[in-house]
Amino acid sequence: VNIPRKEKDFQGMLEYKKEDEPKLVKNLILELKPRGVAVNLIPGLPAYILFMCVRHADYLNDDQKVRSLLTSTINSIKKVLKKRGDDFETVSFWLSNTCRFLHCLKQYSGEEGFMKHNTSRQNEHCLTNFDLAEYRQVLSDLAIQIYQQLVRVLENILQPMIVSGMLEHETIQGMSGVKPTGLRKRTSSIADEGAYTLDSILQQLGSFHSVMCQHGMDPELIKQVVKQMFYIVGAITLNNLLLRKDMCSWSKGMQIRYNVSQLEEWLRDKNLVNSGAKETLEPLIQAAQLLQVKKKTDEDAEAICSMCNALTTAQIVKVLFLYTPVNEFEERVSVSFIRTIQVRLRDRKDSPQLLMDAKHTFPVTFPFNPSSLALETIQIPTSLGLGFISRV
Amino acid sequence: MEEPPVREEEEEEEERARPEVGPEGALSKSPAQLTTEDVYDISYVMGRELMALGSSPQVTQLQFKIVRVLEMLEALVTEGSLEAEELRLERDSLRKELQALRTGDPP
Repeated sequence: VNIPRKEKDFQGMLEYKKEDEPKLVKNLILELKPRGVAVNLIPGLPAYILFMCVRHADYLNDDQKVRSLLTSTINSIKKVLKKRGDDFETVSFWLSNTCRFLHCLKQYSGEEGFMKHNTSRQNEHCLTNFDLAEYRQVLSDLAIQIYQQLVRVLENILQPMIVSGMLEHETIQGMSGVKPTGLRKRTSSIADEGAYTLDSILQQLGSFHSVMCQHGMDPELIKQVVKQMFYIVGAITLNNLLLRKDMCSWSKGMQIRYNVSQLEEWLRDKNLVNSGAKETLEPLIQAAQLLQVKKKTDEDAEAICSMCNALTTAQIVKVLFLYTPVNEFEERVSVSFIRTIQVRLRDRKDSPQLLMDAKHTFPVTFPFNPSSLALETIQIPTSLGLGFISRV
Repeated sequence: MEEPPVREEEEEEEERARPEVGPEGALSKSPAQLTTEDVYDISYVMGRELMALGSSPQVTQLQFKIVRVLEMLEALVTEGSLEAEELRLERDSLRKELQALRTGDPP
């Protein structure tokens, strides 16, 4: 049944001398660049190599070697993230590889639940001597920690763009009632120099997404990151709306709805419609609608109360209160209208919360994602500088 | 008065050009203009296509040969640009020397 091959049949393990362990983690973790020929062509390669080293130590029944390798692996990843933890690329790279390493430890654990998708050859590669379930727990905690760090990094990058790109910058020309002049485009682009636009946000989202894809991050994990990014955009935009009078007008509502539609378009484009990202924008979408609907009769009040189910009473009342008419055809919202809304919403048991918690992080999960890669075919690319380990 | 608009246009052009040089764009570049970043982009694109072919031993063998070829390309791109720079400096200094000898006082 074996495929005839000239070269030796390997078992998909890697052997190194105990004294070379520091050199191994130095070249494979501490000093490995997240962008390079080998890691780009085979995403997750460092994780596979590490697991193949674990396999050989397990095969030797050398518990001391297994323990020592796993400990240095975890410590080295922590060290890299301490040193370059503000670099999105580095954090994304090690999140992807930590997850892949964790998946390998499950896929080849020998536990039936994790072997459903294995080929028979892959089943032969399961660990035979040690149960590493406790280490899996440690690695899973590490992955959660790296994920939270990733969210902080992307939040720091996105934050300064959001108010400017979502609220202040005018995507639709001449909406605010300011008459556009003939030289509008030129003058506005001079005025916008250095200021972020919706395009800056979309470009930034695109570059985050492409880095994660290049690192071979689990699609399910990418979805969670994107949902978290959209939540940050939505929460910061809505909070600013609730704090600034000049943001509560009919035209800003129009503007926000247009910007949100562009964000949704981006999700469709990247095939992320089922990520739950769009849903996180719901409060913002409803606030934008609230800026646009009629606010006069009892029917209007009823419509508002049934429409704004993702906003708290405090948020609805605040928007109505801040609402500023843009032209002579509109009127200020009357106090009695706001009273009507308050009365109608009295029975609603919602929180008195006005501002959204922009720092909220959705709990992350790492669903098991086995790989079809055949360990016995993995070779060690020269550029990794691991000439001292050998295939077994 | 005329300068600012011109500068602005240049900036706009640069920005427009950037998205095109995405992962796929690297393959349409002239070899002389290749950077190591392009080589990494090519790696990613080819890796994705190889992975789509499945994980039969033949495919993986090819995959690691391609890794080697791309490592060589990376080395050539890096060394090539360094060498060219060195030669350029050397040529310029020789040219200057020649100029000095021609115009300078005769021996």
